[in-house]
Amino acid sequence: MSNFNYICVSILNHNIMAKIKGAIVVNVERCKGCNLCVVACPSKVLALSKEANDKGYNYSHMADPDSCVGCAACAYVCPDACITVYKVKL
Amino acid sequence: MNNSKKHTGEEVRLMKGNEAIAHAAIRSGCDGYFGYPITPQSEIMETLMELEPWNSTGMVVLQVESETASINMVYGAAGCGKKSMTSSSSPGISLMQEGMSYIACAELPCVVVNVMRGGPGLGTIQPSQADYYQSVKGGGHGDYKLITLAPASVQEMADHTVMAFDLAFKYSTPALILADGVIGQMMEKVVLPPFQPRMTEAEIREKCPWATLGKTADRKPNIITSLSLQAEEMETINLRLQKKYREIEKNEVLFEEFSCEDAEYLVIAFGTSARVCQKAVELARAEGIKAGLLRPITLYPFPTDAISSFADKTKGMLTVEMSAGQMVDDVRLAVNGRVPVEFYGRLGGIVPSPDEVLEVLKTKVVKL
Repeated sequence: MSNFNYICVSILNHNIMAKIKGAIVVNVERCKGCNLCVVACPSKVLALSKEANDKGYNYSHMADPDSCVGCAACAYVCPDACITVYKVKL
Repeated sequence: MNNSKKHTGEEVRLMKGNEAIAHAAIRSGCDGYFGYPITPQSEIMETLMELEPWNSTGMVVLQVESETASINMVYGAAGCGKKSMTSSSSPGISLMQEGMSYIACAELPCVVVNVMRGGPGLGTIQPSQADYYQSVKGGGHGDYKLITLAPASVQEMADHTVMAFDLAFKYSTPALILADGVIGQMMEKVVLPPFQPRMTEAEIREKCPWATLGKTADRKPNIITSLSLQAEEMETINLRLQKKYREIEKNEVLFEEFSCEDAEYLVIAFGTSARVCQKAVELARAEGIKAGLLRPITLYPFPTDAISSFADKTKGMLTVEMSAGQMVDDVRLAVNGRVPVEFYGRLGGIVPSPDEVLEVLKTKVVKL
């Protein structure tokens, strides 16, 4: 959850021209590192982390959180419904 | 190959291949599951623990201390005529080989699920098909075989669980479901098999007269063992096993053909590779190459006759596996030099892409 707080703070601090800012929270233990969301992301926000979850999979995370536009493409392609998308209007 | 069943009037669920195995095990009337977690098959036990079948059907689900313990608990349960199963991934299956050899010799029915991952050694947790030799040639010691089923979809994960129990009990021999990390982890729609009640003790006594359920006055004691110190006796057991394996080879071969009718080039692949190759065959057909796909569903017994029949009809064959080339040997034995057989494989947990397969098909096979 601390990760999510960080993301929210970074959204609020980021007062740029985009009208919608997005952020995702990945269910890290459910993620199997299939890479579909990384490919689907139009803003190249996502990457597989160097850390592994309990099962040993390199889970998906926001490598470039500032670029997220909250389009939810990652959540649509996620076969395990691991991704929750948050959007904030600025 | 995806969802061969028609989804009419049945409840369609979305789940992982591993979860489908767990659901299907309960529904097939399984009495006991003994397992030890290992990625990428841990969801089988996780799902069983979540579903708590001990409250509904009375099925035992136990996390034991090691893979060696799990296969030996399966041995014990199978000796009582119970439907028992275990599951693991490649390194864990290696640890079970001794027990599997014992169960095969004692002629007991059980189901083992191997959700393969990259090896050798502890390897990776990504999908692989490098346990083919271990599965179909006998990974343990002695002359024995395992009925080996290779599912290629989540639907087949569920169907093969039921089929594996049926075959295991029909022939009193262990059956192996040889899946890989892709099918185990992949989510797909599935229609689960209908519920079968667990066998009652009276039914076990009738169907499995060898089961050690307690001696009755009208018969001699049942003894479950794989030890016979007399060589002549051991030879008799071996001959009986071999007779059974010939019977299995005659009756239980399963395979699937995809646009093979007019095929000039035949691609042979099982499991996940077959899904990749199906796309590659479609791409090849779009470019005017008359390619077809033959997917063995049973790896033991291997569809030798079916592949042999294509040797005279085709100009070349390509075997695609996620290994350094294991099933390709059986394909070459089947065609016996009558047609060139090429191989393409990716190793250590990498899944080949349809484009790669198409490229190999064009450069190595079609240009021959």
